[in-house]
Amino acid sequence: MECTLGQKIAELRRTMNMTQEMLAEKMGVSPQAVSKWENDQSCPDIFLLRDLAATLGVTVDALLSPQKLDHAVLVPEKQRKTPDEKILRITVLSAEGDSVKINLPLLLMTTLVEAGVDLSAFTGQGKALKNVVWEEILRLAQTEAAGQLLEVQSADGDHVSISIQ
Amino acid sequence: MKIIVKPADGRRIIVPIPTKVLIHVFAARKMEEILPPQLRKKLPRVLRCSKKVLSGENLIEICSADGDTVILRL
Repeated sequence: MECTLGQKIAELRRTMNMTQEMLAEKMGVSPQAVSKWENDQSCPDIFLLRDLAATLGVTVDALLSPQKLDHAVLVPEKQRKTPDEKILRITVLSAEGDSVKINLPLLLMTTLVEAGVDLSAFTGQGKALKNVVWEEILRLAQTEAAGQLLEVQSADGDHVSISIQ
Repeated sequence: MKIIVKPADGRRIIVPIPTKVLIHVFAARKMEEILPPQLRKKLPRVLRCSKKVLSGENLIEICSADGDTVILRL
């Protein structure tokens, strides 16, 4: 899956639990400049790239690559969200071209799993999600890692990714 | 909650529905069926946190291959 530089900056910023204002302050630019980067209306100055990548917890190469970030990043302790503030993002892209994005609060998912609720009532009966061990995903989601936790590509072309933010 | 429908070949339609209405009319009945009794006690806190976390976020976004989009946003 490909994404623009702006989409990647926005995703990484949210993963690192930063507002546009916080990122702008760290980079010494205005919040409007960050907003323009994220909406692909402008690009960060080349001299800022190294600091920007470091602030977002990736290499310059990973930041500029059109490929979506396919691994979790370690969020610095000060910027970590509590489990109550985290969102589990599930994206399903079907081979036919349909896409479904679901954002669920981690607290809601954890409470449901603890109570033994069958999550297929929320995530559907799709083949790709059928064998996912939700307890493991949620355990991972509660650690300091953020970003993509799981990516499944089924033989019939469906694509599922689960990430935590 | 807002239901936003963007047809591929038409104007965007936005239907705002108070979340309370949804909870009372639909979710409360459905939750009774799905949730075990021990979870119902925790539910108010979970919903309060969920509302805060999901504020302004899309709960569900469905894009069909032919270009139609349906979004549920809190």
